Amino acid sequence: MTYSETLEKEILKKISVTENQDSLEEIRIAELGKKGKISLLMKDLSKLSPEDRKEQGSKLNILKKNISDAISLKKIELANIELEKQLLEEKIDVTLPVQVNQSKFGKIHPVSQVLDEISEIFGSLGYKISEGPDIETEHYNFNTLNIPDSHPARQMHDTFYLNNDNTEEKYVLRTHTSPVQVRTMEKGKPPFKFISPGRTYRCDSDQTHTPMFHQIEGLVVDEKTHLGHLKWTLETFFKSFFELDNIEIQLRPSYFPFTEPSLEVDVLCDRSGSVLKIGEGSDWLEVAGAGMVHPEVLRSSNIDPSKYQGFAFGLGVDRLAQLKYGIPDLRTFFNGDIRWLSHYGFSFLDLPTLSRGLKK
Amino acid sequence: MKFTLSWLKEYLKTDKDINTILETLTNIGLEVEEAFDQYSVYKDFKVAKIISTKEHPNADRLQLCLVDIGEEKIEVICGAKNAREGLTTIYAPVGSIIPDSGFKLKKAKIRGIESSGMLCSKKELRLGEDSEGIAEISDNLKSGKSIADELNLNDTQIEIAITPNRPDCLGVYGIARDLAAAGVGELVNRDKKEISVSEEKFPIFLDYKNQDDACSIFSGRIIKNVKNIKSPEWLVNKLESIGLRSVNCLVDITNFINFDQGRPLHVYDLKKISKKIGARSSKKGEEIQALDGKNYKLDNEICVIADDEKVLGIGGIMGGEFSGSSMNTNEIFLESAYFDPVKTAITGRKLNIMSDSRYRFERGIDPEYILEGLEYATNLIIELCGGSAGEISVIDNRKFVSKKINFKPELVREMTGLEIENKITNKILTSLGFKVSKDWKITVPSWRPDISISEDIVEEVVRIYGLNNIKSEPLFNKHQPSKSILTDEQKNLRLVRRAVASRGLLETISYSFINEEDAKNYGGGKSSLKIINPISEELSDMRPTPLASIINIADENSKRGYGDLGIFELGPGFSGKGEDGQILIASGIRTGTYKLERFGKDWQGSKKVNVFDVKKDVASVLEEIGINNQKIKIKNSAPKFYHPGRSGQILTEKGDIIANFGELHPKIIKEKDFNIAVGFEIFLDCINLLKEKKSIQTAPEIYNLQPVRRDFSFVVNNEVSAQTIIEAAMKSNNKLIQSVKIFDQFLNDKDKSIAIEITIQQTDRTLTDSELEDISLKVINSVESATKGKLRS
Repeated sequence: MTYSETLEKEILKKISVTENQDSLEEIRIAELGKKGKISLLMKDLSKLSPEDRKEQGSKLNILKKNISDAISLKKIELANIELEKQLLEEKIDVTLPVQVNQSKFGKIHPVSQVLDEISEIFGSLGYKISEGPDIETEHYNFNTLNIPDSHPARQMHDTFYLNNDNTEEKYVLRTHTSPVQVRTMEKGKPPFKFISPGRTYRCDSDQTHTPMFHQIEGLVVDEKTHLGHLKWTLETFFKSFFELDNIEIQLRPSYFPFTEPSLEVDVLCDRSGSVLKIGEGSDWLEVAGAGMVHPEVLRSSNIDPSKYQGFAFGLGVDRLAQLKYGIPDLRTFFNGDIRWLSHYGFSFLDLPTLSRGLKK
Repeated sequence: MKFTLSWLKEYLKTDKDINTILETLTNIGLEVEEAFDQYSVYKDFKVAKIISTKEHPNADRLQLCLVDIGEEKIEVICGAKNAREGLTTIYAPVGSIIPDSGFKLKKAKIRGIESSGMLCSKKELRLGEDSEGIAEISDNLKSGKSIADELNLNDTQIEIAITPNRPDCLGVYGIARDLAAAGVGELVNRDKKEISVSEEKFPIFLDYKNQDDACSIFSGRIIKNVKNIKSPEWLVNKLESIGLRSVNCLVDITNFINFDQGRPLHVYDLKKISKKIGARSSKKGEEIQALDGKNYKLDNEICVIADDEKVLGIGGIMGGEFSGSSMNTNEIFLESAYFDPVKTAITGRKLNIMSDSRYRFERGIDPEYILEGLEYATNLIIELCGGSAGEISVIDNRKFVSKKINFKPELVREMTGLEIENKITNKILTSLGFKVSKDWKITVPSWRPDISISEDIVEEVVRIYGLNNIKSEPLFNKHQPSKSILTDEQKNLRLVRRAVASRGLLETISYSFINEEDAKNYGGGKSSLKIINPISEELSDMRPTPLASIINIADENSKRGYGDLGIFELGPGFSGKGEDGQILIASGIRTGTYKLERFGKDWQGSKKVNVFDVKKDVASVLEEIGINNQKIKIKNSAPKFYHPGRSGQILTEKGDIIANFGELHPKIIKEKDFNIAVGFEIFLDCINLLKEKKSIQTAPEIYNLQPVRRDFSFVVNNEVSAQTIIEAAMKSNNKLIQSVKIFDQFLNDKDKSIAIEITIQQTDRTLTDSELEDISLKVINSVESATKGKLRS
């Protein structure tokens, strides 16, 4: 082994055992620095014969390069080790929980959602939306709907009355959304095609009744619309609303002062299991009241009943929400328990449209 | 309306099974609410004889009865006092369902001793009202036999809902007539028996003279030498089968005819009547003790039945206690009259009396059956109680004339789409009692006060023909609308709802009424918005704002252990009656630590909500519906239920309120279970006026030159609002200053220092240093003069 080989081995060994940048720098200075061993050896080359100088020179150059490379490598290695160490020190516990952006806790009440769904369906059938006040005159709530003062039907309505303040007109909380029929018709000209959703009130409170609830009224008046059209409309609506092809409906004669003929609408359902299923079985479930608009109602709206006719229907919105989304108790709809609201509520991004389907 | 199948069959000759009859009833508009098939209910219950009794060793009031049930003798525990040796009673075996409770009988140990089955009372079996003790039945019945066979319990009790337009079906005969028309069988006519009468007539009077007065027909007769008895079993059973109690034979006969024919009648004890009987208006101060035992004070508008000195009964509603028949009655006056539906309804409501006769009169009874009904009752009374009848006295001011309708049979198709042959239409109407002439002039039967126009006739035809025969016919859009179905207001409402929910708030829907105190506290409580007949005192006033409702809802949730929450309601608030008095408000509330970043305890720390959380809610919603920031201003003021120093109002330039927001008043927070609560109200009607109509969009202004930013710090009085500083800075050079941001605030005792950053957008060229210097100077001057403050040196 030549001297330079021995020296190289010796220095490389020193480098390899070095543990930090400082001692590595010391080695660099000691070997490659101006007064370093290798530098001194280089200086000594001048004392040698030209042949020896050439030979030794090239050996020393190799030695110098090898050591310099080794130091560079070691430097990177040490830097990496130090970074590793630093990173280890910087470690944090990523299992600490985070809260998801709170906006996802915001929910839409099922009644609002169902109202949007219903509007979507009737909107696609060309129905506009018409609205009226919750505090209604007896005139619109009863008289114009062919329910005169003494009519026994007034008792069926369990009406809330408001204090009378020196006015002739008596005010009630509307017992149904039907007053919007006349309110809308008297402002326009036939044909009419609209729905009117809203809050309605009756003086009744038990397991299946709340003093406030929601209805949707539908009305079509033109020259030719008849009960066959009503049947198609309701079938189409229920199919679309429940997203079921096998909806079957039954019409039963009934009585409402503001329609003639009057009828009630049932859908086929199965009550045998724990959950009520629509579109199956052999039971019937009442879902709507309807009929041909009574000539007196048309007359109240300044429309000639000998020329125009049409149908009207009323749906219970809360009940439809109960049926579609399996919500058992009506009273829970309005008591604002946040556990209930979170459970049955809909994401605000869940905007019902017919193209994506009304259910998510 | 209740009746039994066997009763129905007295008037309907049919071989159809019960299910067809029930189905048809519903299909023709007489909706079946309940059908109680006795045979299937009672077949498992057995006749049982008690052989011996002994005391239960572990209970004073119970007995162990050894009971013979035919094939075996078993021990049954019984608590009834009348359980005694030799009694024949009714036994319910294990597994049977007790009719009254719907409870399925299981084997059970009672005080340590096993009892198999039970002995039942009549009430438990729905065989009568008697709940005292176990049923006592005839000793002649054989032990072990089914009571369904032994007691002839093979009838079906039916209850149907009668809509208010069908008084004709408040008697079994009328129901049979409808069913016969629908093809279920043949109507059996009411038999008329001739009776011999004496010439004796009792004087009657009728003070009312017009046909629409409270009473327009008054008639009656006396019957002498009657013997009032306990009603025969068939009559008692009939009444009990529809839930009526037997009183005495005379009363029972009138009750029976009420349900059999829908004809109310009344029996007076002739000895209690002074000189004459008739109908007149009451005089103020008169009183009557009615048959319900209550005393009624009358005003001067009530139709009463009276003699020449006193009131005997309330016309069409209820007889008097004094003049009613008793077991000692042997001379009677039998009354049959016509009371006006409207006036009877008003009186009934005024006195708050409900009775079977009011129910019928206010719906309109058959004015042509008054005398026939009187004869029918006379016959039955003489048959059951004996006696001899006098001549009928009658005053008829009504002079009933049948209604006639000119009908076009095509109307059926026009209104229903159904093609029904004219001869079928004719047949249906005829079988319902209408008379149809060749040219379709239709005479309405006297028992159908509800029929007056052609549309009514159409309903009669289709309900009997079958509504379910109507075929669906598509009703498509003839013209696809060019504009959106929803109005701008409706679109705003939907957008606001979802925008508020996106802030993490849960939508609630609550009642529109609250209690009076809350109404007053939240700016309402007007007497004109009070409900006369509220469901409870807690729900007595129309709310001025939904915020009042949701504060209570938040409180209830807080009491359930959920103190950090955010909820909202988009609903009406009321300031008056009518359309103008109702406004649509989106109200929200945040409590505790319910902030958008996070809430509740958290290792990163959590903060309580403050006024800026709700300000941000409001601002985000306004931004979402596109309200231009420049068109609104903010004031440090809000209604009294907000904290006066930590609340604000957003207004239009004209000063209309768009929104309120702020910390709730400390009094509310203290009273409720809140740690802290902030709330807001956004007034949608105001937003609707403000929202700009969207014009055609222009391209955005994007400049290549960098914006320049400059910071300033001012010392101003504490009273100076941040908005004043921003506006002043903005105003100093509206063209180039793009935005003003407040990035620091430091509060001292009387003054505060506010740091702002101005962003200047260079548009067409780079501004020179001196130009920029000039802009800065103008900002300083403008702010200093608007705030009377100083640039901080």
